[in-house]
Amino acid sequence: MGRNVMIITGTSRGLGKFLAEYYLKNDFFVLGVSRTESSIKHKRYSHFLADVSEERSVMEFLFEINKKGISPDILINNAGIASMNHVILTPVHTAEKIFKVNFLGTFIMSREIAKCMIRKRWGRIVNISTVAVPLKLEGEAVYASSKSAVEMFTQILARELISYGITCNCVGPAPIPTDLLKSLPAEKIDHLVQKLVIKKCGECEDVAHTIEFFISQKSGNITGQTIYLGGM
Amino acid sequence: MNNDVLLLVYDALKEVFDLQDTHFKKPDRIDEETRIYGSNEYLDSLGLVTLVISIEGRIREKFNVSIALATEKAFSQTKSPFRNVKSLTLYIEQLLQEKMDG
Repeated sequence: MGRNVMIITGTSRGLGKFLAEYYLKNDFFVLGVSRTESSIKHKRYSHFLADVSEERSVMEFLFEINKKGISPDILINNAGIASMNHVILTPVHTAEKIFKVNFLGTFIMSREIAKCMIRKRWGRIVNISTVAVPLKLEGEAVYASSKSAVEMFTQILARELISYGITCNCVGPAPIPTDLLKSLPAEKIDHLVQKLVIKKCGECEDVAHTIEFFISQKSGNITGQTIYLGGM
Repeated sequence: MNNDVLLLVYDALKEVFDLQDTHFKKPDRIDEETRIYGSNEYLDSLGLVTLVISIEGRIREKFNVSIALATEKAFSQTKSPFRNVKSLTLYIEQLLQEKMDG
């Protein structure tokens, strides 16, 4: 087996499901992680039920893959939730939930999977951010802040892990019509898209293409970066 | 102290000392009082990371459980469980007990 064992979080739907199917087509072994079952059926796909924002749940997942002798090469921290609201109208529990999944989930998964990667002195971690971070739009204070935390975490993680041959980068997609966006008002999405260089929603393929660049064997000198899709 | 845990810590430390760059000094022998991290340390922070990973892996193999040795006090000079072999062994025992108690 080459360096082709990939963990993707949030594979039960949306971008995560697309990425899992995309990399399965490209001969990767994909370990999907989400809180709910996956509909993906493939001989190189294994699904694990886990809540990435709960340390205990991630430890159990890690224990399972260790027991099976699986050693991950690539981690895509895709699991995330979105919510748009004026700060004054945002309940504390909503802010907590967003930070827990988006930031804490990325932190816990990165910490645990990096341990496996450190052992073999090679790894690729790609985290998902958003164009909402540089755009600083009204109504996205909590969501964009959680993703901003992911970006800063990625930059520092990159510094801490590069001596082990592990790179850490972020992709910041433009809005993609997935389940994540269903709850957001269409005019808000349009307002965001109008701020981009390319004034249209993004596609899952754009993200897969960028991830492919980051995880390439040839990208060992590319770390601590965020690529925003759609143009800033 | 649990002898299995103590031996596990000895083995992991030996592995890390052997892996570490030669400009770090190695202790003449490893015993319960051997300092791990802190003043006059034998390990740098990368060595400490390697030690944590080694011990967690050995615990998984030996006791069939996953624990995380992450602690806020890791880099404290006086309170870190990583200050010597004895404190680290007791810390691991405590984590194992918490795991067993659910």
